[in-house]
Amino acid sequence: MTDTLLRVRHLRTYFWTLDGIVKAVDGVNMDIGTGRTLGVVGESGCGKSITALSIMRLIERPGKIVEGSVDLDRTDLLKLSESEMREIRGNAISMIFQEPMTSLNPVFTTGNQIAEAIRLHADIGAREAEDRAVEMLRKVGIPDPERRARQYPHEMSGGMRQRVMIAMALSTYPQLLIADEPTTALDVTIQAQILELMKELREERRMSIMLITHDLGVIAEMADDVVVMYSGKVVETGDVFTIFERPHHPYTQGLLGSLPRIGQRRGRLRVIEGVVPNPLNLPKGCLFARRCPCVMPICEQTPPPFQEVHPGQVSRCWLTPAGTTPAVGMTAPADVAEAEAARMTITADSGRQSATAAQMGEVGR
Amino acid sequence: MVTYLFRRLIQAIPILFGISLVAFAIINLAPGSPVDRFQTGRVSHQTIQNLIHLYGLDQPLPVQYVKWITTFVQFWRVDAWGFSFVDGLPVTQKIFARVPSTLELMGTALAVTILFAIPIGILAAVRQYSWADKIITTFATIGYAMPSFWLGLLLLFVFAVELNWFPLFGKYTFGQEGQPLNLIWHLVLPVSSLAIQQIAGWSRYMRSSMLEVMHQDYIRTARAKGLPNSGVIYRHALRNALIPIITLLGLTIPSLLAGAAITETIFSWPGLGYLLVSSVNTRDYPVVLALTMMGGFMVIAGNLLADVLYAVVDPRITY
Repeated sequence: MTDTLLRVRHLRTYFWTLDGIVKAVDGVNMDIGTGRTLGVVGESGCGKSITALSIMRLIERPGKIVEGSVDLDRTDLLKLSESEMREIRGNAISMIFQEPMTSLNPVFTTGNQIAEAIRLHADIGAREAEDRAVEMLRKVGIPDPERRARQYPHEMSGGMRQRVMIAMALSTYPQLLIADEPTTALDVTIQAQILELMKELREERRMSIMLITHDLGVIAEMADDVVVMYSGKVVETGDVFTIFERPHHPYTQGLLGSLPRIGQRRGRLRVIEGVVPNPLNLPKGCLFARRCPCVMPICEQTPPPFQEVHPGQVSRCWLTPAGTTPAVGMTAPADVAEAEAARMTITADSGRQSATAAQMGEVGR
Repeated sequence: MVTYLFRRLIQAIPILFGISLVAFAIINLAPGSPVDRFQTGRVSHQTIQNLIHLYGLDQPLPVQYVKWITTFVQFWRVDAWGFSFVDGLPVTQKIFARVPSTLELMGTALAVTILFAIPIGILAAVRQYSWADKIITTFATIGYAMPSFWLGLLLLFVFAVELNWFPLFGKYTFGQEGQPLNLIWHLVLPVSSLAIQQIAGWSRYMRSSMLEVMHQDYIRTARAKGLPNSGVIYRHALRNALIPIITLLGLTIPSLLAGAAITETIFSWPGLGYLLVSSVNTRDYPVVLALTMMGGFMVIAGNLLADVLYAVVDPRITY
């Protein structure tokens, strides 16, 4: 295993709404290795984007990071001051967003917007920054970059704008690129081009990528490691081959099962029955229990702990590592799971104090 | 752009004709007549009949209208807009003598409005639901609810009559004509009475415009770049938030002229508004009609100005 660039631990981001507290991210752990691509998958509303925005500390009211740590090269980002965090944003960690059509400011030229990102983090003149912006546009495959740099976003297509976003994000040579559904809004051919571009730049820079998507095809294409999220929690992690070949969690299996396959006509696509639980009224046991085809009595009662079902593959499910129903009356979980469950209980109890600590890190926002 | 402007000005012609018809109809439907002020019993019936004949008021209305409008459109002539029934001066001369006073009042009021309303609106938006926002909202509601004639009288009573800090009326103290400081001293109360209401309205628009922009994706992009809050607000958000405010500018220019009619009368400010009110009172038809036409033109010009400014601030708009 390579060294870890970003280590997220017990991250909790809650939103205080009029109807109650929404635990959008509820105890998420994930690691991103240097030069590796982590794919984060899950349905809409499972907390993928909020995890990414929490890492960037871009959560706005009524949301708040209440607990956890986000270590980038052993520095906990959640403990930095706002001005120290600004040095990280767009510099060590850059982000690109789902909607290229609305993510660029309509009243500034693209060159201007890229140059602004460069000048924020490098002590160079305006002319030099503009030249570098043009260079970046050339790098991301925009023809006639000098002319394009003088154009406004509305003069470009969606794919073009996403290239501009990538150029902007990469203009400061970040260690980590967070790409939040970078190809969802684009048509398939443009999608392939953008993914190819990201791959090239990743190889060239030895950059890490956190790739958020609900498209398993994109994951298969791009990711080294995969995190599957459901209802604000990680339900399964592992390297991409393991996840695709031996998915353990019934939700992951359901996601993979609902993929159409070229050359196979099965009539109807398989779907995961039901909907994501209401975040204001989460079930007591496993959050997936109501939709799970393998649901057992224990699932309704107690949330399952993490268990290592295979070296490097961790799943939050009561099924045995082999995927079978455990013996009836089983109460003592496996060693790994026990330790995990114990830890989860402790963090839940100490939630209040930690929340205060997290808030102190938030002072100045 | 030039062809666009030209087309818009051509389009203004039928609109102005419509305005002239309505204005002419209303002024003749209104009770009273220009000769009413001579009905004191001391002016003979024959003299009044002679006056009616002199003003052309004995002719059928369509004839009067055609006579008026055909000379009115020849605006380059001094006598094109007719002569005042009150003092016989050419209307053009009467009006243009008063334009500078109104421009001083309106211009200052508009500048003060923009200077206060935009920062206040930004503050209220950036600190949404804070105490500052709540206080601003409260004052904006109060300011917006106060009619300007009432506010004007109140200001006059408190600051001129009771406290004696500011003058009661006029533009200059007698003998100090043309002195800038004296002018500013006289401007304070009328400008306040015009601007307070405008600031109240504008700051609300600015707040909501700013709030809308602050939730746009490109603001998140700006933050993700590592821009400090001030850069996000003043560079990325403000420019976009000002685009809808331009509409307001186009609408405010003619409404300030209307507001000036009341304010100028209260403060005896020698401008167009004061002239309009006194002309209406004396049924000085040529002056009232000319001023109404000017008001109509201001509405059209204000809208055109707004459309031109759109193209200046928003690169997505071209003509």
